[in-house]
Amino acid sequence: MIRSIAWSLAALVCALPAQVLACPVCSADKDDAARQAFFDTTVFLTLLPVAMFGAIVYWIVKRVQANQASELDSVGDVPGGVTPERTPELTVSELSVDVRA
Amino acid sequence: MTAKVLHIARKMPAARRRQIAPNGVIGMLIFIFCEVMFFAGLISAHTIVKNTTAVLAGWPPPGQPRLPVEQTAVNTAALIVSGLLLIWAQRKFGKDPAAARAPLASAMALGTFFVVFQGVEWVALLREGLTMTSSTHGAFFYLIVGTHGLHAVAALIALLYCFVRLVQRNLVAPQLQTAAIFWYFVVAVWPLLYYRVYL
Repeated sequence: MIRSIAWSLAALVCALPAQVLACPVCSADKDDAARQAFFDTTVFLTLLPVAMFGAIVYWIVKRVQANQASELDSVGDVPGGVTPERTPELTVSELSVDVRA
Repeated sequence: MTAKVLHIARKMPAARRRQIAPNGVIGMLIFIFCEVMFFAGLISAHTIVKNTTAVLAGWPPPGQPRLPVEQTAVNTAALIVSGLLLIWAQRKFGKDPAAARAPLASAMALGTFFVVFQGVEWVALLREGLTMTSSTHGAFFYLIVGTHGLHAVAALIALLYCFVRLVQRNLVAPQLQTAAIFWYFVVAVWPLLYYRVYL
């Protein structure tokens, strides 16, 4: 009895449509143009934010590099060729904050 | 502890605390990021509806007026030229702010021409029977083009604000940059909208 029910269920599963639409009102499977439109817009909406984030990160990196370059230029452009007094670099001991204070 | 942190901050080189861009520019870029996704959503919905409907009934749907492709191409050219003029105005502003008046005013004039021409086009299309409720074609047309028109008007107001401050000699570069980025977005997104909606 159980075996016959199992075989019946297996036959039922095999008889189900191979393709099921996630959205019941979509007609993406009706024609190639609509299917292509869904595919194209999915790719478009997926890649667009990635491209924008990439562009913004690239722009920020370039701005930081430009800032560093201008800082070096300003050090070299001192009239009379005198090396300016550099801002002292922080040491590890200075950076460590005493939490007990 | 606070005193020590402040002491360390004062000793840090100034370049490490320098802004990479003005706050206005960063804010405008974030706003434009959102608007790009908004227009991308509209364009995607339009593309799917157009391709789905085109197979069944053709696009534009029968009985609906055709869009003025040629006239809008001229309008598109005017908008692109206004963007180029704004680039020129920004370059002039860097050297001599007074010299930026003419190109900035010309850019605004061409932008205003674009908006007014779009309005005239809308009136003609409404008379021909293309409305928001006449078809999905009309609904998408007015939604997408109208949204772009609203952005164009807002960007023109920002440019006008910059122009007034320029005349008063109060304009600073970050203000012009912020308004210019907004206008560049309006200019850059329009050819894509024209291609998808009109052609």
